[in-house]
Amino acid sequence: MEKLLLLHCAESGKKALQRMIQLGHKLPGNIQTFELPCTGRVNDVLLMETLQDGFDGVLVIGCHKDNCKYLDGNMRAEKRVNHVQKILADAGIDKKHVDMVFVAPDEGNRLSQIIKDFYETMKVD
Amino acid sequence: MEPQPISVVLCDYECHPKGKIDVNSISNRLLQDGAVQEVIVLNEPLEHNLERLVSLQGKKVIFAGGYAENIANKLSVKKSDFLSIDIKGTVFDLYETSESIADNIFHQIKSRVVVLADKEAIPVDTIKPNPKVLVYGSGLSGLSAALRLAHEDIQVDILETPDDEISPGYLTDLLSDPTMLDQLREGAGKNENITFISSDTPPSPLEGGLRGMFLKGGVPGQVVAVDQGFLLTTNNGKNQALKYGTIVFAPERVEQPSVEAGSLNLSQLYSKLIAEEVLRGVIVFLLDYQEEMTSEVFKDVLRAALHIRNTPSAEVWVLTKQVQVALQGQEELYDQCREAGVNFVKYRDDLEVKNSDGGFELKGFDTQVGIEFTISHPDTLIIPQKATLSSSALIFAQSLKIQILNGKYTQPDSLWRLPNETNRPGIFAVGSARGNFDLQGIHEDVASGVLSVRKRLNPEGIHIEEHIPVVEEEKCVYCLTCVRVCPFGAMAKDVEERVAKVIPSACQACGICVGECPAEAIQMRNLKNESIYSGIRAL
Repeated sequence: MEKLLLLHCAESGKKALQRMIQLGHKLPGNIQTFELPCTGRVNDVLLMETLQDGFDGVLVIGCHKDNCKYLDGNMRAEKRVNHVQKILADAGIDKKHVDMVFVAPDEGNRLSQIIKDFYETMKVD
Repeated sequence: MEPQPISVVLCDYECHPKGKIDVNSISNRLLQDGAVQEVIVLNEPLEHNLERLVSLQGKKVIFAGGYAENIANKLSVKKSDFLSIDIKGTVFDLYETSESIADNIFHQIKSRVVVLADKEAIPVDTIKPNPKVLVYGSGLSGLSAALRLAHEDIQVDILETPDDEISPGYLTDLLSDPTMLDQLREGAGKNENITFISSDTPPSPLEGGLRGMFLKGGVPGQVVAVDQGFLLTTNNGKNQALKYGTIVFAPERVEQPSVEAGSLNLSQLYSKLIAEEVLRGVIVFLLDYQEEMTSEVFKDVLRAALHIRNTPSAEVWVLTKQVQVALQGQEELYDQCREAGVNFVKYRDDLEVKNSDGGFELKGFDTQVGIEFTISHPDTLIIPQKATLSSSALIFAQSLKIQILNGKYTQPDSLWRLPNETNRPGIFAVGSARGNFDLQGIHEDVASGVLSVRKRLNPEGIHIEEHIPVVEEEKCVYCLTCVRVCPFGAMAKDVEERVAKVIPSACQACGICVGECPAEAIQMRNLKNESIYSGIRAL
């Protein structure tokens, strides 16, 4: 099983991960995390480079709509993730390898479930 | 310049509940690459080993475990020279088995090493905003805020707009002193720290938006962000360009005209109550009719209803779709109304309102009791009108990219904003457009807004974010995408050099411009594109 990357923002994303840890959830060892100030930094090139660098899947974790500290970063990230999914589909690759989810800082349980589901989707290959 | 060597301090590795981690293997792997010069392993808190860590001064350090910020301060290690990893939180507590622990620690450190190697010292990390303050709005909120600031010896300009009006919220408390506004105006006029300026023509949305972007200089009436704060171009005959460091956004709300001729809106009702007119007979409040309902408006309705019920010959009905009692003290007020005999009716969507020359007939279905009802020819029908910000206030907010909630509240409903803060640093929202306040509430809100302004005028200056983007001017094609997408108006066009420039005092270092730039001409400082890619690769 290859590596998965959780690309999260420093606001809701990081806090949700911390909450998840507080609640006692664990991750399998091949899932890594990388923090950005805002998911708005994410663009097509970054996502493609990540997939090229040996990661099997990338999950972008951002704040809920209207809760982005930088106003619309999360919406831009969603647009770009959708765009990359389209590019992958055109190239004949399953779009499941890139996805974006929105969490609130207190949604530790929900985030754990989301990551588990993402992991399971990746396994079926 | 030679790349600085990086030292790694590994701490707390014995904290893992599943036993010891093989620290030596981590240390060896890190040293093999050559990017890491030394690895210091401690099994005690960092604070107990200050002598050993003193050798870190002048080097770049990664603290893996321990309270790094604290130690870095004590060792005088600069902010740009270290990164820290919460080993316990992000590794020990996160991963399942101990085999992957050592591996994960190694990968996380390696990832940070790459990012740290590119970090440079920040040339200037504070900036002093211009000492003048611009207050938008000359209603009760704006004038009170300006006077409070002027009393603190702060220079204030009040930007007047032609359509400031008092919103219905606090008129109930003005019952005792309706001349308050005139007194405030007079006081402001006499104060030597206050100047009134007016903008005759508010900029049209098109001018402020697309066309305004390509015009040289400012569009009259428009405010743009500049280095030390903001620049206002006025057009009242003199065509001045005025600089401010802080803006206090204090407009009042404006009520929309009535859709039902013959009914009163809340302002009109209050005028009657202030004039001590006695209302008799059947008085009906029709709520949720114009999408105007909020807890605050409902509170005003409750107060008015209670006041009217003091007259024994008044029969008061309140028709609403839902009862909103979210504000402090509101539930008590609602109970008082019921005890005083105010009738509350919850109606369904199929309510019919017939208006024949001011004689109304309301037919609907009472969902609580479960019967149809008809109210014919009430003596007074009150429909709270939709109150919004004036169009010039909305345009002002739009040109400054201030987030407005529902077209009427000057502060977005966001968990990131403390009282009076808007999405942009240096712009504060104060007064009745932040929510319906009574007179006491306005005083308190103005006081807290003034505190925020004083904090911004701190003589030490305000901090600039570490990751402020840098524009590579050779690569910039002057498409101004970044100017358009920046949520904070922190990118400006340089018309002479035909490049985009970052305004440090407005920038929040979010990276959206970096992501959007089609020419990849913008990089975040201390978090370059290459650093991110390599950092991810190293994981």
